Amino acid sequence: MTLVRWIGGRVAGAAGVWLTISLLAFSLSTLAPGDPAHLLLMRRTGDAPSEAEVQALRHRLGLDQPFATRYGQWLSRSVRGDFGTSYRTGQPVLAELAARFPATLALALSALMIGLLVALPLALAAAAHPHGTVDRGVRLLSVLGISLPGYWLAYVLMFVFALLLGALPVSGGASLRHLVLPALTLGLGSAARLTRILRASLLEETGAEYARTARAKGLSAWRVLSSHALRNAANPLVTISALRFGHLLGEAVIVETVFAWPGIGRWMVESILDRDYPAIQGFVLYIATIFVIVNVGVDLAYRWLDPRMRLGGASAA
Amino acid sequence: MTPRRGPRRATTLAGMAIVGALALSALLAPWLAPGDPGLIDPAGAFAGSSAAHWLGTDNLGRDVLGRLLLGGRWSLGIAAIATALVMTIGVSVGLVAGYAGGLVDDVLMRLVDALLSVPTLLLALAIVGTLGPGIASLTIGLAGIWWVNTARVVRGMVCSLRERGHVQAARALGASDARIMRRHILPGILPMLAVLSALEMGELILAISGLSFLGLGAQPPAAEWGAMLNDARTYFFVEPRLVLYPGLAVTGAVAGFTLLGDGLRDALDRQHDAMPGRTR
Repeated sequence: MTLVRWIGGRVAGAAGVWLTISLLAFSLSTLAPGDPAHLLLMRRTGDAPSEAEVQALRHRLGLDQPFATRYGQWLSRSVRGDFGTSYRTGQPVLAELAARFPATLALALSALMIGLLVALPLALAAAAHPHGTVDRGVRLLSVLGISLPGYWLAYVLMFVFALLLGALPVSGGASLRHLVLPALTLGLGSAARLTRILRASLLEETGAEYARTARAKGLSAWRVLSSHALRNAANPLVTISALRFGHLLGEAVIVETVFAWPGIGRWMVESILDRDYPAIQGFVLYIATIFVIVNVGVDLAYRWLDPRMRLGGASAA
Repeated sequence: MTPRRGPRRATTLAGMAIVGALALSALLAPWLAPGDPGLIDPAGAFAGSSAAHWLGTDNLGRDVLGRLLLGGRWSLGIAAIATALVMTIGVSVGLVAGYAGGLVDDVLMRLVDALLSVPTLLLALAIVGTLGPGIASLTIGLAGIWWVNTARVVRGMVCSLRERGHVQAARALGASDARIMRRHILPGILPMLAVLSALEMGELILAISGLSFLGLGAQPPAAEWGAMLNDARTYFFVEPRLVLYPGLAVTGAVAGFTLLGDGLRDALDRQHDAMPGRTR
């Protein structure tokens, strides 16, 4: 398979995923209780609108059109970068999201870094002596880490660093000092999940034929683990990191709210509490777009990292 | 695979013990709770631990221990219903996709892939947000998205079971599709479903308490753990322990189900590894 055809296939697949999510995002509007035109008029004037006013607005917004027509129009506007207007702020949804995304990106990436920095040594230490004392300790820690609710960990960290030590600010801002606690909260939770997966994939590798051969040739178990197994486990690590990044965007919603971090997660919660439907739809579409791009990027990275993929196509996953 | 030994059985037992204790305390909450947990007593607000209130009282003078016990009913109850929905949808979709194959399989799996490509919690959040805050929309929103993982796992198992000798033989003997599913496929995936249920339960407890914490799920005065934490955060700088207790309860519950799921999965792996003719 040539590279161009492969990339073409991936992009077509990504477009399919994006379209599916866009249909779901648009269908959300049919789930909303009440008539959107009625709601919008209520918002503007503060009291119940007349039936004629509602009908007029329904017609003007195209709400009296069939579902497929409305979806088509919404989709074509979205593709051209018009995600609608926020009920709450009156600003274009896309501009609102784009202004806040860098803060969330910074938070998610620093959390991912912290997660990997903690998880790699722990997983290596655990995999060095499977079922030994260290391994048992690491596993217990990681189960605990997985079970901690992020919002609660946030308060524990706040208590230790801000109240007891008085070292770090607890909320707001977009400075590096403000980033520490939310990033640590998300990072430690991620570390636990990454450790579990990484340990498992390292053990899978050390049990493989090539690892046995290397040990039979006289290489130390540690050497086999740290240079051979780790290198082969790098592949799943890329996928896992990308997946983790996605989950981090989800978890960021809660952590951003606790620390008043000015990202898209907090904006989403505010939009939800204010029933700002265009904002909710736009948010889903925005995240789906980012995800589809990240996934294609990960596939490309995979292909570059793993020569088997270049020869065997998708079967070597 | 490296052989697995003793400690794993200990984890399963620990998980079972935690889950059992929680389930029991939730069931018996009204009898275990000292006094009425809903009783408001402004004069006794923010009291420390005492013989009458083992864990003290909250901002309205309500007994914290009693509310935690009652909270188990909410948190575990909602999670159990959501898990049941998730497993029902996931298993149905997985069975149909895996057994029917062809176009049906293609369409369903495309949908699953699309849903899996976007963070699950965010999609659930969007549905809950659109339906409006509340326990019903929380359950619907979570179950409406959470089933994809189960569906994919079940489909994979059904695909491989379908080709097994005993299923082929049953088909050759003229058994109907319904009979094959009921007698030959479902029993094969049941153990894995137990593992998945335990793990999903843990994940869902976290998600439910998280969304309730944001004010999207259980509403006050319901003593759901996440909602309790949401109540308590206003007083965090005055009374940090009010935030501490519900968080510990969630952590304990999630850890219990995760340990149980992990332990069951390992037991299942061991069984598979011990099967003749299986190379790994």
